Amino acid sequence: MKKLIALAIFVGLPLLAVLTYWNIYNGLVSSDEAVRQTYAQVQNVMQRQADLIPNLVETVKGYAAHENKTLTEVTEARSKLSAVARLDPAKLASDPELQKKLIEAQAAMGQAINGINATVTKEAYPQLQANENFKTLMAELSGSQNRIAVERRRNQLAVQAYNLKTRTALSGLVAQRHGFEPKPYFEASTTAQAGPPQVKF
Amino acid sequence: MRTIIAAIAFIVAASAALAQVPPLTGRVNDVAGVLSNADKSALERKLEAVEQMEGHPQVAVILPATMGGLDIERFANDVFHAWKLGQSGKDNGVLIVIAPKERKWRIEVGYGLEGAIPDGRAKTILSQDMDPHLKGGKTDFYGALDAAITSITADIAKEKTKAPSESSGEGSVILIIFGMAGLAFLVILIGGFFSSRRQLREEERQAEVQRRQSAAQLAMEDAARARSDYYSQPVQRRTYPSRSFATGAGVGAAAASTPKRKTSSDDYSSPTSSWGSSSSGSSDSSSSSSWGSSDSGSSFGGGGGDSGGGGASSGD
Repeated sequence: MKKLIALAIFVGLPLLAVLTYWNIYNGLVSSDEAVRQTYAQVQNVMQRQADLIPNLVETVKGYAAHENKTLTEVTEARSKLSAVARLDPAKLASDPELQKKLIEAQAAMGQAINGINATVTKEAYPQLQANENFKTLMAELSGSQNRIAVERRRNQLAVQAYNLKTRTALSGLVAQRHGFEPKPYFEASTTAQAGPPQVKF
Repeated sequence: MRTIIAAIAFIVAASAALAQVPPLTGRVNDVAGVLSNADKSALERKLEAVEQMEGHPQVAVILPATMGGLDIERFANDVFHAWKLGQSGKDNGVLIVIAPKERKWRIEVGYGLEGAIPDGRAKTILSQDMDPHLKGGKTDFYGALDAAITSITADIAKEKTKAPSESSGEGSVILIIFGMAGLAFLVILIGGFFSSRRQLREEERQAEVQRRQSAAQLAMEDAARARSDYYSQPVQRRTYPSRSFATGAGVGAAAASTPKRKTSSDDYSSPTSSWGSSSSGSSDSSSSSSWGSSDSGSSFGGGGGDSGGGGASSGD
């Protein structure tokens, strides 16, 4: 009987320790992966938005060809957006500079969309306002802004969860041993936080 | 240290925001209490019918007393996320929000129905079906909801006829083909082994030779038997999604393959939901509606779907 207990202790405890360690390590790996995936998802919806722009530019050109400034703005915003959408999500997760670029690109796009909105409303292009294609595109664009906001919120939650794991008692030790660094928070700038542009047509 | 505090503060704030989500009480959640009982049950019946459609899409309605200072976009997404509308893996849910106090309304579309109802279409439904009943301080909530539900149902039905074959179906066909090929290979191997032994006996017992002439025939028989066995239980294979492997790997390790956009809180709920779906969803077409008692209409629970903020909003 004593032998059995001894056996249980000598075999069971190390086994338990190994399993716990394994468990913690895998937990870190999976939340690390989750963070990466949320970045990829953010980039995904950004690319989706960028893809809408050429069509929008075409439509607006048909009615308001002389609004060059507005159109250039939105085209520039688009190239910024697709540039950040192509970044490696793993790099993005650990580099605050790249994250800043991502936020700036989104903010620039939000401004450009609002710019078009304002122009079309103020300069009174009633035909453009009534154009079905234009209405649909604006709805898709503002939907994209909202999608980006949603995915960024989920990204923030994933980063929080990961960072907590790298800092709490036991898993913090495992994280240190295997080089799981806390990740920078994907801070929201005030412009980007303002929410999706309102389309009033 | 500061980050930890920030993290905790954030999580508290996040859960506080989520706590404002009213509990799911049915298909029509009239928290504000602006619908008559007759109207409410008429809408409920209509939504029940939607759920009988292929893939069991779930459309829910909420009329919150207040959105607690949140944007309607944020509020709608939080509610959708908390209620898990739509079937797990299909994300085929739609949430219609009308906030009578804030005078805003929105259609929030789950990931899986973004093809059937893209944002532009959602905006059209808002402006054609809902705005006329609501804009300018009007309060015909029933009229707005009824018209919107009709349009949404039509859109979902249209999408279904447009794309009748599901990708998951193709996937399982491929699985079956590979499985058959593998089985046939095994059977031939085993058959070859047995037949070589049997050939020894053949010399002793001629009678048996007549019945089983060649190894190939035996192999064929076995293959046929194996095939029928296989067909009698193909379901088990199909309900082996990557997530249940992760759960099986167990010891909490898991979740490495738990997909995409899931937040930490979901990590705890996903094992249960995957158990649920692998047992109840066993026959995929007939019973897979996640809340069994959908005929009674009394219970309406989250099916595990999610939304990424698709849809459109309107308001006064």
